[in-house]
Amino acid sequence: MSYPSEINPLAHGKLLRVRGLGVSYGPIAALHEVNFDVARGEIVGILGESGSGKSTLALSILGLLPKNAGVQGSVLFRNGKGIDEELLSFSERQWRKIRGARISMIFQEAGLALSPVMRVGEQVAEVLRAHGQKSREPVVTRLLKRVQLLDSERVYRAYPHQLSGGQLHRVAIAQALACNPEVVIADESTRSLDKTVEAEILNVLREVSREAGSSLLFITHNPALLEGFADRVIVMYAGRIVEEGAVGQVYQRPLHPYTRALLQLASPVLERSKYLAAIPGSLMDSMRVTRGCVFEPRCSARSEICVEGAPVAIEAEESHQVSCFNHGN
Amino acid sequence: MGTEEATRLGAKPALVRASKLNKHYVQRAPFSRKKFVVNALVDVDFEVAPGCMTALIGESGSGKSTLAACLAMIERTDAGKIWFEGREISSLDRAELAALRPKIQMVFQDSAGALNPRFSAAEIVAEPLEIQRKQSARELQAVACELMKEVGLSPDWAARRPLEFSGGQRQRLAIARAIALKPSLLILDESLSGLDLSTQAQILNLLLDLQSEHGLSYLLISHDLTLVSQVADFIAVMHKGKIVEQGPRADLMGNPQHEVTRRLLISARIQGKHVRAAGAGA
Repeated sequence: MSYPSEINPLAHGKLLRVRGLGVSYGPIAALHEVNFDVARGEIVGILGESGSGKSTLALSILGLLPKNAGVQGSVLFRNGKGIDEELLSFSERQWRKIRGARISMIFQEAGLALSPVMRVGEQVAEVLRAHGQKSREPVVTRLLKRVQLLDSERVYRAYPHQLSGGQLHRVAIAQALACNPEVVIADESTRSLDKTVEAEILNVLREVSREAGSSLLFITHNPALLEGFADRVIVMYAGRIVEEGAVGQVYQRPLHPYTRALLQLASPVLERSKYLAAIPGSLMDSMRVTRGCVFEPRCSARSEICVEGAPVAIEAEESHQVSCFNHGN
Repeated sequence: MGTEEATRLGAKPALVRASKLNKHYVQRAPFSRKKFVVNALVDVDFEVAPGCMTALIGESGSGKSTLAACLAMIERTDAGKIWFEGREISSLDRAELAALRPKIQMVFQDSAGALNPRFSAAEIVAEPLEIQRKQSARELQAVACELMKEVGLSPDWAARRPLEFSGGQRQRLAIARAIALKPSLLILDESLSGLDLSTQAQILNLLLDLQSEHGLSYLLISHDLTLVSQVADFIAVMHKGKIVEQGPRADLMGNPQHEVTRRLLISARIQGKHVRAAGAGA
């Protein structure tokens, strides 16, 4: 295949610009001052453990946050005329035109996201119909072929329970990409799959989103999945972006102590060891932080300055940002 | 190391030994009357060594959980024999099995679904003891707090309900409940799968601590070779209802014989080829 291995975000238009995004549920901040851009056609990995705010981030880009969520900041999405629109001020009617057509989502349990009493092909056709596109059988079978579902005529007629987990996943990808959306969000979508099936699905996902020219936001807790898959990685901790940069750059020279710890955890130690490396403490410790850096209670590189105030993002090297006072130490 | 492990295996009699286990399910195809047979276990010979961690790996649908349920005598096999601590248990009746149950405990994958949401943490942990009628109510409360401390949970949280805990803490609670009756074998069926990498490592460290303290034996079921390779003493690989390969960790990882083992090893190694380099440099 002849796709560029790393897409330079500057060479393409910024499709999505998130500025100062904050989401809170009562006193609890799920997202805090989140800033990032997504370029057209780019694959961005969002990496973080449970509770880091990555799913909240996905939901705010899709306008699916619950009503009790307090939202601040802005999410700008470039429309066909090259004008940025503020997604956070959209009405439910405006959202309905965008969801599935221009921004779509692949959820965690493909099997649960599909209706058990409807043929799979018709469920893909439904997405096309909802956005006023041709939805007859040949169109859908072509979509199913695109996600490498062999025997797509049979799959069209199948009910979800007649398909394997990997096949269901491909159907979910076909649904998400049916209308050639500009942004696809996959939220931990491969979590329940076997390693071998997972690798196949990642290949399909990468290939079809590149083919369609869609930007892909891939949310995961496993750094190993982004290697050779994503162009850029955004590392999140306790609702904040702690590090961001090209996957190669960040994985070779991780600057934030949290990123370093995560990468160490994911490295396959094929040796027997007495104890496993683990990040001490839990996210609960960070919830108690009021003034300093949120990672300070669990950090191995902490110093006095870390309890005084919260670090801001700095550009440590070209297109590689980190929020840490002692980065690189 | 391989030979050292091998002699350790040979020296002590197996804690659990299974011979020629067979189990099939008859399933009805949905919306039709057609029936088909699923061979979940086919002539399975299997051993769990005492005081060791034995890992059972394989892809989903390979029969791992069925084997675990049969070894714990939750399900009956069609054919084959199982010995536990040298005694045949596959032909025991209900009453005899009830006496055996405290010795073999299980921890399941979905801790949120496995723990009663209306019980407090202390009630969950103490329930097995209550069923066995071993202590008075006041003693139970004290034992529950002791057990919570042992798995790294603060006894101050004894009154909390399961859903107030994080996933990792709930799994600790499930482990505390499982060790309440001082079992000799703990079966962990994908108990770590839903957790973050760091939490997985913390729970595995806890298991290692409990092992050296109580001489527990583990049967760890997983589809993730990367995870088990770091802690297991023995590894068995299942595929389509059969054990295709089993042996000491070093032998199996260093010199895999079966294609399925090789495939699992390759997928574990490819994922994170570069991550390893970065981790080593950090």
